[in-house]
Amino acid sequence: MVAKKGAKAGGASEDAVEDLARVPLQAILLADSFTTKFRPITLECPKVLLPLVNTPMIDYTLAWLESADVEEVFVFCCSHSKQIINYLDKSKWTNQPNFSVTTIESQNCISAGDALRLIYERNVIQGDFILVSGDTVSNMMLTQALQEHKERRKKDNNAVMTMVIKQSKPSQITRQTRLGTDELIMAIDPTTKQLLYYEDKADDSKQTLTLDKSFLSENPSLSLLNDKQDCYIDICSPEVLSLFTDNFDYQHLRRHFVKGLLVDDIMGYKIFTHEIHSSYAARIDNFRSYDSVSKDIIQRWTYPLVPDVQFSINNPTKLERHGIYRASNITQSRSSQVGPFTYIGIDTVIGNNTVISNSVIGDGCKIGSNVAIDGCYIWHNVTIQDGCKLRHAILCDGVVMKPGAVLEPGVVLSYKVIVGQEFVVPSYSKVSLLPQPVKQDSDEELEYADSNTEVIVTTNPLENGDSTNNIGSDIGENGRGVIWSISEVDHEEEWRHSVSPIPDSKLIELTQLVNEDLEVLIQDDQFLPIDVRESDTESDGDVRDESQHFEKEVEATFLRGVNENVKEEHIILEVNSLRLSYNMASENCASALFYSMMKLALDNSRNLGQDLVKCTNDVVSKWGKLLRPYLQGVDDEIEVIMKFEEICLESGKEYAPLFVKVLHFLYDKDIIQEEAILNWANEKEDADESDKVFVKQAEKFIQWLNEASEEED
Amino acid sequence: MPDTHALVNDFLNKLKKRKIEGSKTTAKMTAELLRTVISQQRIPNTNQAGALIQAINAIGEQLVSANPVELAVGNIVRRVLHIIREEDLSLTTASIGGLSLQALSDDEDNIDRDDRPVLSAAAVAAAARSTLRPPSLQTLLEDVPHSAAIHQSSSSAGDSEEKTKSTDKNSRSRKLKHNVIETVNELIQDIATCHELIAEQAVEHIHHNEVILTLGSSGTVIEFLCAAKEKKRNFRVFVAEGAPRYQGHTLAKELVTRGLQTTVITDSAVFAMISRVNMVIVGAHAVMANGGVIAPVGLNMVALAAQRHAVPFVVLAGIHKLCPLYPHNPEVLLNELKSPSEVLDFGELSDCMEYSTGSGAPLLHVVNPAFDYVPPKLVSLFITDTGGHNPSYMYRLIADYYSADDLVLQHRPAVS
Amino acid sequence: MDFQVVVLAGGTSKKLAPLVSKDVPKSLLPVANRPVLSYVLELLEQSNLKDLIVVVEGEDTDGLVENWISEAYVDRLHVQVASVPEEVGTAGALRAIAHHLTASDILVVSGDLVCDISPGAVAAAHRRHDAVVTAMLCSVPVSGTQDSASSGGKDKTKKPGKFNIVGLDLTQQFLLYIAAGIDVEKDLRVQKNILRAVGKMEIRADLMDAHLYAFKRSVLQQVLNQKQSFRSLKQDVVPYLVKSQLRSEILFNGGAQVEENGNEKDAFSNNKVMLSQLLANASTPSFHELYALGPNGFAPSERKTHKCCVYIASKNTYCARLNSIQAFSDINRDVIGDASHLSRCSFSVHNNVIHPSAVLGLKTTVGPQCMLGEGSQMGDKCSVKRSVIGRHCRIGSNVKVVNSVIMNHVTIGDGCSIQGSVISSNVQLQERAVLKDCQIGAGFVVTAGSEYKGESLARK
Repeated sequence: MVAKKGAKAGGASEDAVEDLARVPLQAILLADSFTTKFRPITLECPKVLLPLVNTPMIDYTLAWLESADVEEVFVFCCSHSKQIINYLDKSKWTNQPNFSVTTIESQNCISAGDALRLIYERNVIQGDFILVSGDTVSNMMLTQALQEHKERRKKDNNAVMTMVIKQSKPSQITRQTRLGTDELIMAIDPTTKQLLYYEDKADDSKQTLTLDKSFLSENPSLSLLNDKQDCYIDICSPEVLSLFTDNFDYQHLRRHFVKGLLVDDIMGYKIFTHEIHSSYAARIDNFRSYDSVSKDIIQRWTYPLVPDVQFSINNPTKLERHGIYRASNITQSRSSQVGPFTYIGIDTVIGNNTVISNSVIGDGCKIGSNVAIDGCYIWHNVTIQDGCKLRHAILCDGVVMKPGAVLEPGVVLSYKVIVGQEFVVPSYSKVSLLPQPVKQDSDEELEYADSNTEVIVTTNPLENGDSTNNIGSDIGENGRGVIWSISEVDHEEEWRHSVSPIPDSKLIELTQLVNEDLEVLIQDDQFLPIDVRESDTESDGDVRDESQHFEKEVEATFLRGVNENVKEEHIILEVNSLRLSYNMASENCASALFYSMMKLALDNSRNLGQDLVKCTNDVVSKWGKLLRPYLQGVDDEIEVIMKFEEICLESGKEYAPLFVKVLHFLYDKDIIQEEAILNWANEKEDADESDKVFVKQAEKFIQWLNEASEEED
Repeated sequence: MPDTHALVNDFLNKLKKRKIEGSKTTAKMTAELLRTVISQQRIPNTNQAGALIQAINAIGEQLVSANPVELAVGNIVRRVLHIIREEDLSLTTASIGGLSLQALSDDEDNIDRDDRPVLSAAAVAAAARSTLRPPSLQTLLEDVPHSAAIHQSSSSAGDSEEKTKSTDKNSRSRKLKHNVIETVNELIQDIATCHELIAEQAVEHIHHNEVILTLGSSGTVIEFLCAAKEKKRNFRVFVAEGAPRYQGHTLAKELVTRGLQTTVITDSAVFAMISRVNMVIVGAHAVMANGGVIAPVGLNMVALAAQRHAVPFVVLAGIHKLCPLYPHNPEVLLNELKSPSEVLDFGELSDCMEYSTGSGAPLLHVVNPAFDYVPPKLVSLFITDTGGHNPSYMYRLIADYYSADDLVLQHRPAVS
Repeated sequence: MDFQVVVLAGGTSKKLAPLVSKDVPKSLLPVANRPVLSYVLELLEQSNLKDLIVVVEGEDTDGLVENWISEAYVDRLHVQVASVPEEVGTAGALRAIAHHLTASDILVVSGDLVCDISPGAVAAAHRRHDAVVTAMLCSVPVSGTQDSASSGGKDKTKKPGKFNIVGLDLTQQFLLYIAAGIDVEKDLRVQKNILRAVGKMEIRADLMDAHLYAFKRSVLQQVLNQKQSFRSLKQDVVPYLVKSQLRSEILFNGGAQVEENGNEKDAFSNNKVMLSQLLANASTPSFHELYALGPNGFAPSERKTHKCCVYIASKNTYCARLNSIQAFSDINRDVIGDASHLSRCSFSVHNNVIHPSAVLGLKTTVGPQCMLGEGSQMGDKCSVKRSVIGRHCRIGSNVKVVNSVIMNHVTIGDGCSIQGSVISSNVQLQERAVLKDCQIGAGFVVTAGSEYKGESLARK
């Protein structure tokens, strides 16, 4: 069905091309964040459908894309794909004139990388496209950025991507932006706006960041930025998709792809940045950003994507003074106070003496008397009975709070949780009906869980059956829900990504931390020279073992290739990716491959007891092609010969006597050109005797070669 | 009618997304949309007018709710409804005009009373209008046939109705539709030409060596001033830049290219300058029934300054800006808060908007209202395409253009 | 203004061999027939900085310098010549003369600086920001960057060769990072916390540290005492101050402290106001206060910051340091050529300077951008192009001098040809000697007819 849709979209685009005489502007919308930041909510509902000021996130993104003249959107949904597809089918987006929304469904993708690879296979992307995730809120106009991107492309085909950035200074103390994302350090060429260096996830252990000096060789000046925020809005060229396909180890857009491109100077792909000033753009990555963005929306920074402009759903909302939004048909007691910056949804009932401020309250909520709500996000059909106190919490649909229950800051109550009478939910605790899935992978980038949550959901009721009674104690008498246990690691981070502001005690503590860091810094500064030297040794040290790793990897790849007789080009591809990830030169690959071949041959001969020469010949003749792509120049070939020497000296003494034979054989298979051999010989001329063993061996052969060449002349 | 449906949706989207700027274009587009709708509308045999009205009503409701602040939409919808009623009326009268008319002396009340059940929607509308509406030129002209019509229909209701229907229902339906479309076209024409009509009057208001002050940018004002200029009047214009959108700058450019003496001042300098000004001429977003003006933000201040220095405050408004509604709490309900980023750069403020520290409550709130409400007592004169009017006269002008029972646009079961 | 100037005249630098020697210290090398030191001294005099300490390396040379200065500037400048042992480095030199330093701010100038940038401006900038150190940076011609003989190898380490790599803030008045291009082998390490404080740092490789610093004396001496290991101002002291600027361990004594604390106090009392100011204008008060302030005033009150400022000379000024043979001949050429305003001589219509007492033979041409010292004599049919000839030189006939510097009392026989060479005083060239790109040490004798190319000759 998806395919059919795709076809339809294609047709649409066709005639679009006809009447517009250009490729329609396309966008890929990843409706899956591939993170677990929004657990436990995301176990039951996909993140993009979570209401943001009473409107699903994805509607903000789609509305923006539409208003920015995007014509085709491919919504990639993975976890809870059914829910998303159903939602979209019901929504108005699917039947818009000149704005087609196509869903691409997948069950087994665990990362943005996989998603893009899949999309590449569908080959639905014709030209430059916008890459966003379904939780982006923005009102920027893409025209200018696109223009710049296209012009750059004209000049330089390697400019594959343009990242949108926005000024936003991270906090000195918490080292995170107002959106709760880690501080970002970028190096940008001030003139061309090319991105040279990108470091998120700054590890505080390192006090200094190290830039490659070569940046300065191209241009005399570059600007280091710490006060910018990555909007996660990328304008990409089709190559990006193919790049993901080539390097199948790319998972994360930034951590792998961007950094991959930046370190890789072989392909020379370039990434550029486009800074937006007046317009708004932010991505909801965690609860903190959920809070900040909601407030921004209520303060109308995202205009026209604000509640009283019905950009997606039809619920007439009126904006009153002090930034209070009221939907229709609200019953509110006279004695209740609705404070500033608040949204109240349709059919909501508010009881006597209830005080609400800085909060979003969804449709059909029932709020009793003497309730205090501050900075909370209450979704649809929530019941809050008399005397409850809520501060900086998120309450999903259908939550019930029995009288007198209290939520400390930072609490998240997932769907249909019931908080018992007078029960006090401790701060930062996450409550859900579902049990906490066992953490199978600490890397939060890969979320397998969501795909198998369907199972959990199905087993949900009976689970509750037995859970209610023993859970009851967990969340107050006749309450329902499990308080998830928070592992130590997360607990440290809880305060960072939560809707509640950071407690002052924490801040002060952090401030001291910062100072201590400085102390440390000054300390080691006194012995700076030494420190530098150390770092060097260590650095070239790890260079060495890196190369060893590399060889092992290559060998492993090669052997696998042999055993499962994979196609050559695939092996080559893998080796390429290895090369990039280890940042090796081609000759390293060549020697590494050659090494592994020799090793293979050696093993064969040992195992089968055949003649070594024969085995070698077999192997080389079978797999020799692999070396081709890496033997671009004489130097590479010489490298191989040297490697061979090495082998003969160290690993495979067996080869020592056969050196010339194999060399000759390589020559016949013209894996190695004669001039390579000759140069090698010349190089060896002024080496000490121990080194010249093999040259001596090969003397005849070389002579012969010389004569041959002379004859040719 | 899928195509009209699509059109309507498209227009709705545009309105919602605030893609359409300026009341004039909005009005024009609305009128054109409604025209197509009418032309597409299939007319039942009985009570064509009712059907049309219903259709327009339905769409009009959507359109208005799409952007309640853009009053021009509602105005045009109401105008069209009015047109339909008028046309229907004139047709009824025409169709039975041949019959002998008598007994003008009958008092309308009892006729209305006992005849209501059999009357067509149009007649009701007419009756309602005639009672609700203050006498104006138009009505005076129509009165004779119209009362006659009612009387006539009252005297021999049944057969006359059947007769008319039987004889020329289809011709008539076509006729009605045709006429309506005709008039709507005229309306569109009017909207298009209202600039010129207003501008023609410029000479009477702007005199030699005067100093005119205006704020923000309004196409009408440009035309007006230039018209005066072409009439060899020479005068100076002060342009208040109209923060935060600074359309005043573009206006100033425009004026200078047309060869007018122009001075750009900041909004805050208005009061200082106003004493040297002979007349304030501004455009409006909408003119309410009570003569109050919904205008670009800042104009209320200008109006107050003008009043303080007894400078005439003249508002130019095309007919499509006349709104039959009475403003209630206009500062809030008829206002729109635009994005704060027009006032301040978000990036600069990003660390003021840090919610992760302190109480989490936002300390900074940037408000950027689009409109001001200028109460009628501050307005000296309205210049519409039908000439200059006193604010207190507005309601009558409006009554000419709109029929009273369209004031609330919402679905209601059509009469009979 | 209360500035004390320290001129580091250096001693007999190895780099300049064979030109310098015991009797011709580096600071007395002639540039357009004036000792290079005079350029600095007059520059200082122009900006009314007359209280100087000239520091010379090595006892034996300071006599010469002292004599020269006393005769040249006896009544114009108040100069005090101090000598320090060899190889103590610039920092060491300052340590040695610490007892002489009294003023609240010290201006440290390198004696081999030839430039037309007023030190007064630097001092002013220093005072304006109440900085701990202010360094003068001058933009270098981009063309200069591509010689990479020293740092060969891959393209990576090639270009940003011998110039400094500096990090500046947006307003280009604070120094956030500094490293000499050569020291940085592979990658530069920038402190994150400084970057955090300032938000946006601009790193540039096209600026040269002119080795003209203004220090706050208290701080300078503090550092010198605390860190005995520091040898050079450029490599050790300045980088250290820059690194520690947000967390200075230096206890300020004197005006500075009051200043700083004052800032922090009011900052603390009403940090909201402060913040709004900061928002209004990113540059003032500087990010230091912002940092000392901390977001929402959570910073502890004992936080201390000090400022490191820069003065960036505009592009069209001339600035060079005489620290290599190449530089020596370049500077000589420039001073009589492009930067002729530096040598305060009046150029003739032919755009050259020929001392009235100089004697020219028949058919002898002295081209533009040349200088002929007093009492020099030239034979017939000589031609001089873009060269400097010192005092009392005897030059025979048919001599060609191109792109060369000839110091005083040089005797040149007939038919010699000299190209791109430097010839020290009292050298004797016998007939038909041909020199190309050579440096001749003082008193050397070049035998007749001999040819040298790209060599440096000195008396054994």
